[in-house]
Amino acid sequence: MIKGVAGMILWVDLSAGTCQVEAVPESVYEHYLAGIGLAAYYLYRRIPAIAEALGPENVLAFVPGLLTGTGAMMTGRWMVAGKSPLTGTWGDANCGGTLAPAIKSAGYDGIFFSGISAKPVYLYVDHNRAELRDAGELWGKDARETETLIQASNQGKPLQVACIGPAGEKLSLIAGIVNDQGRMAARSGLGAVMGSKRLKALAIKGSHPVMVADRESLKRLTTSFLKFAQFQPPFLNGKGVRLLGTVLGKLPLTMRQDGMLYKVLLKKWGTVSMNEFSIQTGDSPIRNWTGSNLDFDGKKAAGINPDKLLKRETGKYHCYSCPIGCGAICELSGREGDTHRPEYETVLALGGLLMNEDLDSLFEMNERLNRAGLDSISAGGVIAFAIECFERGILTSADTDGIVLKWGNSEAIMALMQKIIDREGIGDLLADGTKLAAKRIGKGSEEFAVNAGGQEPAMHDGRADPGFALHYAVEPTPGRHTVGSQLYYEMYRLWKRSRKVPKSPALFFSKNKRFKTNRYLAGMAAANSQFKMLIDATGLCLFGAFIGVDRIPVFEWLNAVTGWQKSPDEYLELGRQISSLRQAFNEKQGAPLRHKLNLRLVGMPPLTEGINKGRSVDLDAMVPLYWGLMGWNIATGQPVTADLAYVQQEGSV
Amino acid sequence: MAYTILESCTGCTLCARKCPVEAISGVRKELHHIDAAICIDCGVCGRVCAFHAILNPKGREAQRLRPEEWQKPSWSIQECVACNICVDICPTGSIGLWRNSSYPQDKDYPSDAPYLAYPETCIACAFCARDCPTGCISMQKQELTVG
Repeated sequence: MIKGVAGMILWVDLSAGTCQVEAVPESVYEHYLAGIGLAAYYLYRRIPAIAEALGPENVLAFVPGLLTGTGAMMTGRWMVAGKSPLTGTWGDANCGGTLAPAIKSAGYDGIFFSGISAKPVYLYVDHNRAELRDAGELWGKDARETETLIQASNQGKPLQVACIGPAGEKLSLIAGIVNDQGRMAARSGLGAVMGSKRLKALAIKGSHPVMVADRESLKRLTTSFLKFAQFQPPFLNGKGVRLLGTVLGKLPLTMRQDGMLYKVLLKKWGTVSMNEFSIQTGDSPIRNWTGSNLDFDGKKAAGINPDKLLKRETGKYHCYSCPIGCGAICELSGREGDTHRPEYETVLALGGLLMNEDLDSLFEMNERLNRAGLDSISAGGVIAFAIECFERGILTSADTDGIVLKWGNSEAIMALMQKIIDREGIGDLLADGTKLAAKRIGKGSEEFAVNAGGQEPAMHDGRADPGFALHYAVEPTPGRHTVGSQLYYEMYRLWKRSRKVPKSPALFFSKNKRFKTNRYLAGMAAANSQFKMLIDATGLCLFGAFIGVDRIPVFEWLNAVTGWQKSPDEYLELGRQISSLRQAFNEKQGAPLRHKLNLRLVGMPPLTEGINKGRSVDLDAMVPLYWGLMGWNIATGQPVTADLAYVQQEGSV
Repeated sequence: MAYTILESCTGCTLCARKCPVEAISGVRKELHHIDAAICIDCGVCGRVCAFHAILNPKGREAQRLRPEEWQKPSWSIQECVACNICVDICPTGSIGLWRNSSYPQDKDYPSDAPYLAYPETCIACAFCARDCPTGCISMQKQELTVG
């Protein structure tokens, strides 16, 4: 067996109430590595075609990465995967925190749940046992209360807990899964799948060692990476970052970005370092994707200046094996208690997207969403949709129990958010995302329901970087912002390790070049998809990948850990195979292979002012180019038969 | 690889009580047994056995050490990158984060840095020092102080 993996997965049949250990054949790792690849292999094989996402046939997988627990840095991400009830497609969500190393050191490369329990349960796993325990007393508790209660009954090494809050229990299709008091695997609505299975939580600990083929090489690689991770010039402040965004936004040229700059910002402020920068460069959508930087400029955006968030910090937060520590614990205002610092996505989804400049409200909503276990991106999206419906008279205060919805009115926004969490009144109608809400409301409201294939897109605008729009449409998980964009390609620096990928963009180039349709840009997208699937198989953090592959030695770590001698191109091919498998999953489930985007996401019609004025994205020509470079059918996006030969073989699993 | 128990075991149960992963089974006053599939080679059984009944994975007799002689972790905090690997690897949960401690927070000791929160449960396995990517943990026999 290769090193770095446990070689075992745990299957939990919730209908029967049983836990069974299953050995994973070595050839599975050779074809799909671990992490998301392992999940894709078993979910493709074990979930029957056209399965009901909230039914017993759906399988929910929790997987750490191949590099998790080996000593490779920034590899503490865990993923949850299953069929998404929100989009009907392959669903996955990625989270940091503490769960990934716990699964690995409990002796598993993944924990898979099937069936539906008759009563609420939680899974308890320690070094020697795995069992389902009664969760009657936990049901109804919020995510932080749940974790604290489970922890209270534990002795010795702490348990690492992932759980759903009330949103998942109430089957809100935008519910996520919460770890370590507020980190969330939020996307794809997989919290609802957990709720449908009456699985409240996983509580895991163990001390099984993770074997490494060449520990000396691994340590040497890690030491050399740490020089980059720790490089931290002190000269930037929050206003400076905003100014940088303004300059880059106004220039007709754009500059190839280096992820080291982002790393420096992350270490100081976390993801919120990009708040104003992103508004200035047109990356962040405003007012339900109808506004521009001009609508949320100056004084308004100053409310979310990174320095203001920094002032609330009481301590830094690092996910497992991360020297950067982009998280923080912050004070709440006006009441006792703390909260994980709101992330960029949360601040902009509940800030600029709703024209809300009230920072206190952002902290409060962040904490309430974390406790409820609700995705803040989708929550922001669906509230923006409701405000626009209200503004246009499609919803009235009779529908909202008297709440007068208005852009930027933080009290009304908070009141509506609470209704969504509680599924009360209008909240019940909105709690399943914009697509279903528009279907329920009708009256032409689909036009304002900004979603990609049913999922609310993240706070990254394809009208500023068309790579985002392309990935929103073609990733097996629609609306996904964490796989690729042209900017991401610049930061991954794959050309430093592979000659097959598109070469480096010039240091300065015309912004219009981003909007062309050509094989070069499609090649970037294909390389992004392949690389991101590789790193999701390893457990590496996206922000680690942004540092660039010539500085974060992910390919070299993989060889040192497994004992393989594979080239970066061979690893990228494994990433492509994982992508093909997720695509095949969608095909098997009868889900579309190209997702329908709300027209605002591609600039139809284009904005009439602001930094993204006049821009639209033509995906019709790009998608076939991308599919071709992924090795798929250029007309349909179907993976070719050869890609699926291994997974479709009759075999022991 | 695992530790093993010799016939000279008297069944005093001390090793079984100290083992952090419940790898040791046996009835009081009878020969105990270590399950090799569960053992994590932390060596605490050998450090506590008064009857020279424990062999280490190399087949040599494990040395008993009085608890006050045990070497426990100490951090060179300037070199620590707060990656939390030591917190996670500790089989007894003895390492905590400074920000969760009841000690006054100190600007020279980063809030996200680890410390030996429960010296009394530390079994001196040194896994933390072995896996620290910066080598900032040293194992020392010490009157334990924090920082």
